[in-house]
Amino acid sequence: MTDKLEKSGHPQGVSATIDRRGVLKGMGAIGAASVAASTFRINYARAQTRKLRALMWEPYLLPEVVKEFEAKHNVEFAPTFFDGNSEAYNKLRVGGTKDFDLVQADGFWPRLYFQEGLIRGVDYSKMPSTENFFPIFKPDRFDILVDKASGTKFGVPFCWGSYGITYNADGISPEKASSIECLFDPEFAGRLSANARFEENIALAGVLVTYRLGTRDKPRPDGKPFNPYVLTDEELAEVEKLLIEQKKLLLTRYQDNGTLFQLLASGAIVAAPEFAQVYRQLLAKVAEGEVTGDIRHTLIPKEGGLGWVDTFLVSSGVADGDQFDLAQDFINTMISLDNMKVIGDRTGCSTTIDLRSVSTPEQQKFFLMDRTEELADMFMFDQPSSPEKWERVWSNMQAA
Amino acid sequence: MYISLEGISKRYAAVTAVDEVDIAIGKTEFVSLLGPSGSGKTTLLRIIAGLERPTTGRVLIDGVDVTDLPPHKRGIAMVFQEFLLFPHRTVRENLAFPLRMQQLSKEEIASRVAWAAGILSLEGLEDRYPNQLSGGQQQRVALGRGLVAHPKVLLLDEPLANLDRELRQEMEVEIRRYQMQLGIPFIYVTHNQEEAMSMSDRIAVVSKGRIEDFAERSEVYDHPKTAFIAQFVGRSSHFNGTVSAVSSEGASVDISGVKLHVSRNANLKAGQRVVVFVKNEKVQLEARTDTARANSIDCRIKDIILRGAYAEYILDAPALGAELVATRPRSETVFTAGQEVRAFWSGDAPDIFPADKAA
Amino acid sequence: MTHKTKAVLLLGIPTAYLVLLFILPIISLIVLSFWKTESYHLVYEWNIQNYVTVLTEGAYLTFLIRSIVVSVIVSVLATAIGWIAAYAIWTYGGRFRLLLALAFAVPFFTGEVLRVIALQGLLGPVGLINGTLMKWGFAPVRALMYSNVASGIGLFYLYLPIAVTVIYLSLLNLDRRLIDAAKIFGAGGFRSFIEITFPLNLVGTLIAFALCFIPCMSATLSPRFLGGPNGTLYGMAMAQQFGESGTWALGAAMGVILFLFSLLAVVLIASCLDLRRTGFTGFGRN
Repeated sequence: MTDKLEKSGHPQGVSATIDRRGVLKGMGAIGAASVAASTFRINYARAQTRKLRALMWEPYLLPEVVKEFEAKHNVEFAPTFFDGNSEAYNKLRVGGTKDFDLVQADGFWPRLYFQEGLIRGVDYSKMPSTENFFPIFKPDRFDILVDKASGTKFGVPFCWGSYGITYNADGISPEKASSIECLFDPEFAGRLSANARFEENIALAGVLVTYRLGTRDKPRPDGKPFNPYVLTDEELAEVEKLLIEQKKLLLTRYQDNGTLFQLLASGAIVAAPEFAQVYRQLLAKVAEGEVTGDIRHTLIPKEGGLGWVDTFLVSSGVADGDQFDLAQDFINTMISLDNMKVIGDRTGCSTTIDLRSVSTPEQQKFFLMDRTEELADMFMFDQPSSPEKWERVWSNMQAA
Repeated sequence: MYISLEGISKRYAAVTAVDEVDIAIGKTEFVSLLGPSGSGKTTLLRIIAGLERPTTGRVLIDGVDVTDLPPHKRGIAMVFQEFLLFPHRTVRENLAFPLRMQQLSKEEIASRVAWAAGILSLEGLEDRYPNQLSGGQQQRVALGRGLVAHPKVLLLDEPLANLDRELRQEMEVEIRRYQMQLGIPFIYVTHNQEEAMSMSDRIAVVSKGRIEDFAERSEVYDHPKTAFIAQFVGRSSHFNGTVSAVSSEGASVDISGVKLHVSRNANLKAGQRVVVFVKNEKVQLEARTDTARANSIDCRIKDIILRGAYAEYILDAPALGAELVATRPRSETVFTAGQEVRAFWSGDAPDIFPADKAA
Repeated sequence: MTHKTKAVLLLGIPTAYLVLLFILPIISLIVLSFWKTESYHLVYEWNIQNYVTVLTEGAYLTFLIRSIVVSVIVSVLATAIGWIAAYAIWTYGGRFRLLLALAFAVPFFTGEVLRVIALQGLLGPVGLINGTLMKWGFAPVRALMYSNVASGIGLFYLYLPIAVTVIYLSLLNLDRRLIDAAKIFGAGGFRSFIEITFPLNLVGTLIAFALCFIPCMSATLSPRFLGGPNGTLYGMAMAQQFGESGTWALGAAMGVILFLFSLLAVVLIASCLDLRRTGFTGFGRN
């Protein structure tokens, strides 16, 4: 059963064992050995026919599309898969920019990549499919992927989602489920679950804490508008308290979508924050009559919610010219209406491309196609302001 | 009797290891089970020990039927060929083991261990581990472990097989002495007839799971009851022949044309095929003369082997078409290799058995 | 090939292997533990802060103590049950002994991940055990759902085969006739086990214990999938440092401390052990 679920799963939880920011394959940080290995690999690669090398999430690979693309350009598409942003980040930092042409990342990570010179700017005019973006994802509005100083665009978003609350209305009222408070409510002790990822747990608790404390409008540590990934020490201390209290209310922390699906489907829990994909899987099963329950999803809790955008990037190792054109053509192919429709159906993600012209009304509702604007109100997945401090909060919670 | 085996058999699937054995042993007897390897003598010992269950029959020790009792409830002790000392225990602890199992007091254990160490010359070795001892020392500890508990019977399974000859002979004397001191029966399994002869009161000769004979050691040696015993006990030469005549004084046997007289007739009939055994030490030698002598054969000395006080003459007897051996004290006339001599023996020297039963 | 060349090859290859795959990684781990991380960046600044953090922050000590308790319980149980299983095979296995011993190794053929997930299916709230209980109208056993008990069961299940195999191999080396000797000299079945069988297999037993205990201390999968919110163990917390939070230097320090702890445990056990009292000569049976 786990298998079946995962096929339709979002990359955020594709693997049963490892989540997206999961286990680093070895210690890239000190990876002299991996540098040597990658050098070797490049030399080897150069000797072969022309290649397009991608560092990506596996579920986004469409084999039939890749085949067609390879035939058209007479190239070989060579994907390498990763699970967590930090894993991809480390691969790039130890010389991977020469190793890969295309890279995927989510949320604010592309900005970090660009600042560190790991990726390069892209040319939307060479990718006509970008015309089909929902308005909110067009560069004039979606400035996450635009360098403010130079105006350079450095990424192409293709999927998006929230980190809302999926709940069973038979066990919790929609009114309660519309607030993050419900995830910390003793009334539901033993019938709640949460993700095992430390960043989103802390950020979501941070949204609640800052809402309660009213500290969002006060000057923020980074001098920028409020971002739940940038919290003060006081706020973090509150988050820690909140998470420790929450711990005894949780049945478990789910490691993968399969587990969460079972927990919700069996009625073992009534609510959990998630990427809306288990929600979609559950709705499908409810429609088939295999699962009973009034399954619903709060996209943005009243205190605010988290959201994410998955993005195609071009590595800084790609120079202007044929290879750059090839990489951009690949992105353009992938974000075409037809291919994005397939990706949406297979992974259960909402797309950045407006697919309403090729979707049924049910699909439009299912994939929230009329609600993309709400992403503007979400706080984007980001890198914790201090992973070291956040890790301490998480460890303290686990040990408490 | 003190120990009785009644109708003991042991069968493994198709193999009969012990076949209907009846033995009774007295309280102060030293008994050897003598037989070649695979004869079933060790199985018999293990049945007495309780390490094997007999398929049929029962075992009685001191009047009690112990057939169904496990080894540790039989009040016995055993000395093994491989010693089987507990490798993780010191000499002292090995000796104390049976006493601790009997839950004797600390003082009693200490004094008995000291006694055993004393009689076995193990003093000063008490705190060593078995692998720090020589083979002889390990053997002594194994023996001491058997004696110290004052068992109802001590079973010895080829205990000297792993020792060199000199040490073996020394130990034979000691073992016999301990047996007499303790006044308990020793049942001694061996394939070595010299060991059996040197220590035992009675010897049970075992072959193919059966007792061929169970008798005083001199009886077994001097009057073998079967051809197997004649062959196995002592050193002898043997010849195949035919009974030519039978009289009240014995029988005449024709061996390849040579006529021999045997004063025992063992219910023989004329014309019967027989095998005749002559023990080496009963064969005498003299220089060739023309005087006729009964039971004599002309021979040539092929080789001489010296064994201490004795000389072993390997003789070639063309008339018999066979070799025979004479063992003579070296105090007698000395012959030299290559010399033509005459071998002879008295009429009561040979043991004669029907050939169909010969081993 | 001369005897010497053979010796050099036979000893040299394992030595080279050890240096490459054990010593070098340990050294890099040690070096890393004296640096620090800042927002997924490694800062090459020598300091001992990571060790101070691990040894003074309550959280990491809690993980360590939790792990020790769970590991000791699991290893003791695995060794005890391993003894029973190995002894049964050794005594009653007959000609199927080898087959039976191998059967215990069968779970090794599947990955650890698969085995833990299978257990999750068995123990979880809708798993076989609780699912069946609830179907029959009984209350589910909460202790089995996402708890330290569940993660202990997982660890036990993962490492029992090691205990059985090691103890069985140790028993194979025991001269059964020593047990006969003990029985002859008055020891009953249980007594001869206590006096002879167990002490003579003490080294094997301790190796079995250590081979359960050490991986339990660094286990990540079982606590992660079965342990529930309060089930974070040391190994899992350590893996977090290398994975999610990118605090590699802190993780390395945790690793070094675990390594030293394991080493200390082994040294302590070894120093309490008089090899002579186990019949162990180091030179095989003599």
